[in-house]
Formats: sequence, C-alpha cells, structure tokens
Amino acid sequence: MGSKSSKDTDDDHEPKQQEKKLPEHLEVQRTRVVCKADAPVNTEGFQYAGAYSAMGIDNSVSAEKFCKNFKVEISRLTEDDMEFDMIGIDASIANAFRRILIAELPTMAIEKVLMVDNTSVIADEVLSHRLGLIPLDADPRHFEYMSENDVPNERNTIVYKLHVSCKKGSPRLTVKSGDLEWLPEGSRLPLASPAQSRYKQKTYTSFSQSQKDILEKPLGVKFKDITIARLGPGQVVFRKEIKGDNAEKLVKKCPVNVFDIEDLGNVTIESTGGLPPEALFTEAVRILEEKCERVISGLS
Amino acid sequence: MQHDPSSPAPMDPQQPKPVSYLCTDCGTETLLKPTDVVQCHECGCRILCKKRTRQVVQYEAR
Repeated sequence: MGSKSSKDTDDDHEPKQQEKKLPEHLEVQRTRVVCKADAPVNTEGFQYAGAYSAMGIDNSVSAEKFCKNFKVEISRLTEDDMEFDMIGIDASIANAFRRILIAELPTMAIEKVLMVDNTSVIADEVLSHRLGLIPLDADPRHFEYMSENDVPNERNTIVYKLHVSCKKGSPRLTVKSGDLEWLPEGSRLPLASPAQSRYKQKTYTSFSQSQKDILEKPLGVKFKDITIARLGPGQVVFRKEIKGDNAEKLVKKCPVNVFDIEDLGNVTIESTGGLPPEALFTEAVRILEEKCERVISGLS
Repeated sequence: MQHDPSSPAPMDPQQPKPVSYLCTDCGTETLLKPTDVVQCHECGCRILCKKRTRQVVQYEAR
C-alpha cells in the first residue's frame, strides 16, 4: 500500500497542468526491481489503481497507457543469443516470459536410442545420455507432440543413424556429432518379430512418406564437432536414435552484476539450436496469449 | 534382461552347454564349460568377456 505523504502543502504550489510526480523513493518502489545480495526487492507490483491517489498519480492499468509507455530495446542479437530491454512492463509479466522461455517452449532432443552394437569403453547408458544432450537443428513447430499411444510417424519423430568403426591398425578415432546421419525415410531397423512374406518388414517407425517432402531444409545437428565417444582400434559404435517432441529447458539468464533492473525487463536468451532467439521470444508471447485466452474462456 | 540362449540351461545339469567368451587380449572366441579353466585357448590370457547380445537394446537418452 502506498503511504500517505505529509507534503500536502507542496501541492498548492504546483501548477495543475503539470503532471504530478512521486517522491523518489516511491517512484523507485513503483518502477524498479532491485536485485539485492539476498533477494530481489520490489518484485510485487501495486495493482490497486488508487494506490497513489493521495499523490495525484493514477495507477490504473490501461492498454492505451501501456502501448504509449512500452518499448523494446535490443542490445545484442547474434545467431545463438540475444539481449534486449523491455521498458515499461510489469515485473510479473516479465517473469512470466522468463518462465515460459525456460520450461514451456518445446524443443527437439534425442529421447530414445536403439543400441545395435557398442564395443567402445563408454557404457550404453552413458553414450545414450550424451546423445540426448546434442542440440538438434530442427524446428519444433513443424512437429506434433507424441503421447504414449501414438505411433512414431514422420509428423512427430526424427530418425538419426550413427555408425562409426575404427579399423584395426588405424589410429584412435573420435566420434563427433556430425557423424549422426539423418534418415528421412524412417528407421531401417527391423522389429524382432517373425517376418511375414505378405507385408513389408516392420520397423520401429511408420513413415508414410519421406520427411524431405514435408520439411524445407534437412534436419541435422546444430554443431558437428561435439565429441560423443573415442574409439580405439577394433571398436564399433552402431545405433539409431528415435527422437520425439519434448518440452525441454532453454537457457535464459540475466547478467551477473545487475543490481537495478528497470521493470525486470533485461532479458538474455540463449538458443539451443532449433530456433533463433527472436523466434523463441515470439513463441513465448504466443504461449502466454494462449494461456490468457484459456483463462478468459474459462471465466465466461 | 532377457534370457541369453547361449547360457547353460538350469534344467539340464548333466550336459552343461559351453558359454561363449571373448578374449580381451587377442579377441578370439572361446567356449568354456563350467568346469573348464578360465583361460583363452589361443593365447592363454585369463581375462575373458561375455559376448554382447545381438538384440537391439533401447535406452532412454534423458
């Protein structure tokens, strides 16, 4: 709640045409989120329209006032990250964007690994986990979520193949993420079932058409030089991966030495590969818009 | 783990089936019965590994 001021006599001297100003400490409380050593301060915004009415300030929220005051300043924009300021936005809305960017934006990652052979010193589980950490150059907006009952098809699954071997007598080999081969036709591993001569051999996926016809660019890995394993002579890594659509975390951070964030609007987005950072933020805005529409339809 | 067909069947103790092992030194395959000396037939190395299953194993990459 805003505190009443004892400077009532000052109002008589101010011209009535001029806009009223809050005292400095109240203005800081209203518009700033200060990052203290222990916790941020002033994170709760005053929602009451008459919070500062004693000072002659109208604290009501209107779309017209927001459109007039709100602006975005982009500090840095590269292929993998961007940094911008949102000025004139409430701290809670800025935090909503932060949480959506972290936890609710879908991204593509390797989820299932079918291991055919692995004679390297790295265990199968560790190798699979390392594959799951590889950023993929795939747009999640082109894919659908895959639930428990869904059959993997070209709309919700990407198939990669990794087949690397180190010959006897050759030097030590490093398996990179560039060795992952995209299979647009789907998996080629046959299912362990008795083969029926009538039908085509069943595989782990059911692609009715090639993914090349659906997507405009080939699906690959974002970085081709990520080390997956090192093979000595005679060792083989041969497996395929089936990847579903996951909602996984993206990195969002604030600069370390920030002590005074104007409306908590300084944002740094670091993309993991599938989408550029500016597309990530527009996706976050769209998700928040869908949430608001869901609440509105629930209230009516 | 699924039952390995090359492992000895517990129902037949009178005729134990030999288990296939791989030598870590020379890489050759060695068939050993339960009463045999754990040793490679080719080079005499005593470190043997079980063979990997031929089935496709699925893992979670999480």
